[in-house]
Amino acid sequence: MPFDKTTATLLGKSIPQPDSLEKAVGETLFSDDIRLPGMLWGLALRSPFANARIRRLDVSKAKALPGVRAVLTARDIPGVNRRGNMPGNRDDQPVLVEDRTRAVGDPIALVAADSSETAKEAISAITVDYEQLAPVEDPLVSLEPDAPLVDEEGNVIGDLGYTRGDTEKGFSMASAIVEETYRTQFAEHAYLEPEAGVAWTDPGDVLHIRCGTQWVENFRHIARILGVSHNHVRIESPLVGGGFGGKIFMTIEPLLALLAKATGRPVRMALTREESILSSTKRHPYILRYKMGADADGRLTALLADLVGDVGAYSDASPVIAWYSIGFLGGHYRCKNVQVHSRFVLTNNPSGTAMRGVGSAQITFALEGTMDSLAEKLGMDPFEFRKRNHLSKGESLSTGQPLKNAVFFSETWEAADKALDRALLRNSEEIPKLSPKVLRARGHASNMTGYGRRHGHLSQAQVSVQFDGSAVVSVGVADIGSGQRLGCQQVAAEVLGLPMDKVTLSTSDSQLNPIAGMTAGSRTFLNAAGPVQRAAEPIAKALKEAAASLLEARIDDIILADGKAFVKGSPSVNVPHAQLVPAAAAAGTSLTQLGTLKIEEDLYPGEETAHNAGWLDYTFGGMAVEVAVDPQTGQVMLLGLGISHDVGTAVNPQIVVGQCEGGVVQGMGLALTEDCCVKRGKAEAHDFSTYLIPTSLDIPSIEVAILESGEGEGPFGARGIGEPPHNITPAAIASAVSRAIGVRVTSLPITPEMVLTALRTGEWPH
Amino acid sequence: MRGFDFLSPKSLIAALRAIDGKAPTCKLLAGGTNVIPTLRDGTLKPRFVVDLGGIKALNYIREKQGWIQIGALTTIRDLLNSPLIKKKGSLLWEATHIFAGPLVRNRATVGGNLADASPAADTAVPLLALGARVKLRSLKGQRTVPLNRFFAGYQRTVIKPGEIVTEVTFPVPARGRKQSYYKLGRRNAMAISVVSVAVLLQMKGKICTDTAIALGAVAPTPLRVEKAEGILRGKKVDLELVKHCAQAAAKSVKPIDDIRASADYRRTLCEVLVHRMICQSLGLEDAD
Repeated sequence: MPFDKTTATLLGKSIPQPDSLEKAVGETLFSDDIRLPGMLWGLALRSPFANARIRRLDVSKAKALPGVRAVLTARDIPGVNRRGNMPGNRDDQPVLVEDRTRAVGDPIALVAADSSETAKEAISAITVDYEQLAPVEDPLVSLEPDAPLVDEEGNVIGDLGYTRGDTEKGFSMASAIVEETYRTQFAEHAYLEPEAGVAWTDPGDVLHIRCGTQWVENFRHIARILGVSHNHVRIESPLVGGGFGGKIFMTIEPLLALLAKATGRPVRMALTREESILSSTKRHPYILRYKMGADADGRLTALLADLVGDVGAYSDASPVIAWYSIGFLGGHYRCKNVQVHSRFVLTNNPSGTAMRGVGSAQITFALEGTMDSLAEKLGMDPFEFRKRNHLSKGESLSTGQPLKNAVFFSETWEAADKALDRALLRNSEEIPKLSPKVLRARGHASNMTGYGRRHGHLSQAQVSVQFDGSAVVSVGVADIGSGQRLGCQQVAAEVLGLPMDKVTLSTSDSQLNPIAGMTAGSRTFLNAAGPVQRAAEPIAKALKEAAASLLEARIDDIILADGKAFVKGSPSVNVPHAQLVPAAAAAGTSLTQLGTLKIEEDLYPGEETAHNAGWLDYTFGGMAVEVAVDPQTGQVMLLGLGISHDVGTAVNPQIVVGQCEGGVVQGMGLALTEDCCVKRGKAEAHDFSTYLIPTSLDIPSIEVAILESGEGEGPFGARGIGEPPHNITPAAIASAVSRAIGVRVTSLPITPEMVLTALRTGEWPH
Repeated sequence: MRGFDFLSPKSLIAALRAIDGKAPTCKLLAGGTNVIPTLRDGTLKPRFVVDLGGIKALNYIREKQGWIQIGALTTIRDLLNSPLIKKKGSLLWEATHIFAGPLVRNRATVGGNLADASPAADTAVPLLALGARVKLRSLKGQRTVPLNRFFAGYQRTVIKPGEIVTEVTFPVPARGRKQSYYKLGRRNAMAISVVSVAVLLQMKGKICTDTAIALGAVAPTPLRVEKAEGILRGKKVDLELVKHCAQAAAKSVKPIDDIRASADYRRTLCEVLVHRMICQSLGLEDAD
């Protein structure tokens, strides 16, 4: 039964997140707030060196300290000393270092003690004799044939690419060619909640880990590390204080598990911000070379993209990001002659992982910059140039994958530009105060971000209705702050025709809830609310059947809304859910339903030659931003910003706006201030006074224009919106700054110093 | 955080007695916004931490015989909220306005900010330009040190063992003084300055009779650039002279490369900002 949007009562409503107020006033219990009786304090000894051999490790003094309950090294791991990875990907990261550190922050030993002071004392009582080796710091050096091996299996963990047409011929047909190399930085996820959690073993010998995560399914990796079967590990995630991709793969979970198992006591760990930044995964720095050619009419004739990604010390999510990047590199423009190549290379730098956009932010920055340069060389307006080249619905990406849903390219570009006008109006008191000498310019970008897996996706959720008509949703997805729980609740309430408070949720428990995948990739509404919708539908149908019989009407005319059923147009004659549920049960309907979202492989022509790259669907967006650059100091000021995305259906517009604004602010950080400043493998910027995320005073006037094509793959036609606003922001800001200073910005972050150098030399410094 | 004895005297005399003979194993704590991070990361391992926060008598802002007197434990928020500072010490007020963020401003004190002696100390730059003096007390007595002789090197001061900063004082600027302050940071709040500049000019018509130019984050200590100041003093100020002065200012700094900016950028910005601040305070049309 297709859902009738015209009778929807909650769809499109900006229902606030139920936990917003409690979070704002500090009442929410996060992982760090949990205290258990008899709890020990866990701490890790981490390597200060990016590349070192451990000649000797002596923990005897630490073990002898009173109050120390366990000191563990690699030798004490009962199962496999590997953190685990996705099937087929290199499983190269030990839980505890055996004899060689590959990164700063590698855990070498673990301590559990009665107090945090004793734990610290024990850590300092451990002696390690390091033989320092030169770290491999540059992925280009790591690529060289005689480079020192970071991993025995070789330094290149991903070498992917595809060719379409003949680029050589394409360039020969071009009347303008641009070739540029772009570089991006190591970026920290900077979730406000650092890694923390507790672990304990219950009387049934199940090890519980309560720790903020984006993926409760990591229990399988824990089981392998402990040498126990999967049913003996249970991961429960409290509400998560931000993840952005940094909490998909395990953070401290294996460390907690080992200590709880070894001591038989509850153990707590909580990282300081410094330890968190020094030891956690990062956004990959990309070195991206784009060469593009267009004919005199402004039509692309050839596109060549070459990407080198700095994997850091361990594979982690890099093979996945490498694969995702292949799907973006060819861009969302029409071009017959395309050659795309990507290599992901190990170094002794911090490991790269997923971070909001899985490579799209870096690629969009380079792709859109090159498009701007090419437009400039052709003497064309950048929008006009793009309009001649962007793909439309029904056309195929260069991989060969057809775009089966709406492509709002011009629509979002123009809506963003108009939104910028509104944003500038809101700033109309400040702008006239600017010195007449500032360099002002408007810049734009467009973005295509994928969401949803095409291959073998399976996620499940359970919905139960109670006799009084209320409902419980059970779904194994973690809420990382962007409305994952609310989305499931709102969809269930809509389908069942219940008020929001009559739907409660059980989420993010790997043993109690059906597994619904990771909270990631702009696909969680699809992954989690999708099966919720499917579970709720048969119950709604049974309720409607019961109502149809009681009201003597056709089932198609029955509306479920606000806890009642009535015939369309006659809401005053109604039957409450409390009466319908027992009737439906008596008629033999199960009051608990499992909903399954299974996405079958949908192959496109030539898929195998493009490494099967591509998503289920894409979200398209445009951004316009106006900057003022101080020509003497190089400072960049954002005067206003307009953003527009086609979200298919805005199920909850306030959540969409929140994702857009949050994505912009995080993107601003990537564009202007954030940089881990990695030297000799160490993040020199490892606290919030040096790793500069934007503050509330840095946020410009932002206007969001939501467009709804209705053509998305999520519930009610929604498209993913978690990552796209972030992915587009650095590109748009760089476009505006480039225009203001007359020099193409080719690296991030755009520091005042680099802007000043560019103004003085006419070249962007690298 | 390592273990230490925490002392919390309620009067200045009790505090002086508490620290007597304990240096160098003793660390004074005012607002704690600088001390606590260094205790946490283990840079500082004192045996005693003496919390001065309980000495209410050292929190005041007043005007006396042509001088503004600020108790050392006055918080940055108190300065920001003071109509007296806003009116008669507006250079300082501007610095408190962009000092870190509200949480830090609620705790950080002017005495602590100076005693910490960071090259980027936000209150030091305007106070240097205002010709501030620092009062120090010990069990033996009291002395007053001009702020431009208070800093002894990177994070070092002339405070002797047993001494506590009790007051910062500066003369009320004469009428008609021209002034300008600017802090260049990488963001609009919670920023450690890359370069900061305070300029104060006494004018008699177009003749500059007195000058003070102070810079932050461009040398081991916040500093006055006396050579540059001398270029303006007693002269008719025009753009040519301003340029000359700004160049001299840039020549007398010793910036370093760090995570926020390079030494070259800082030196360049000294020239740009000194030039800009002088022009701004005098209403000169900046030709650049």
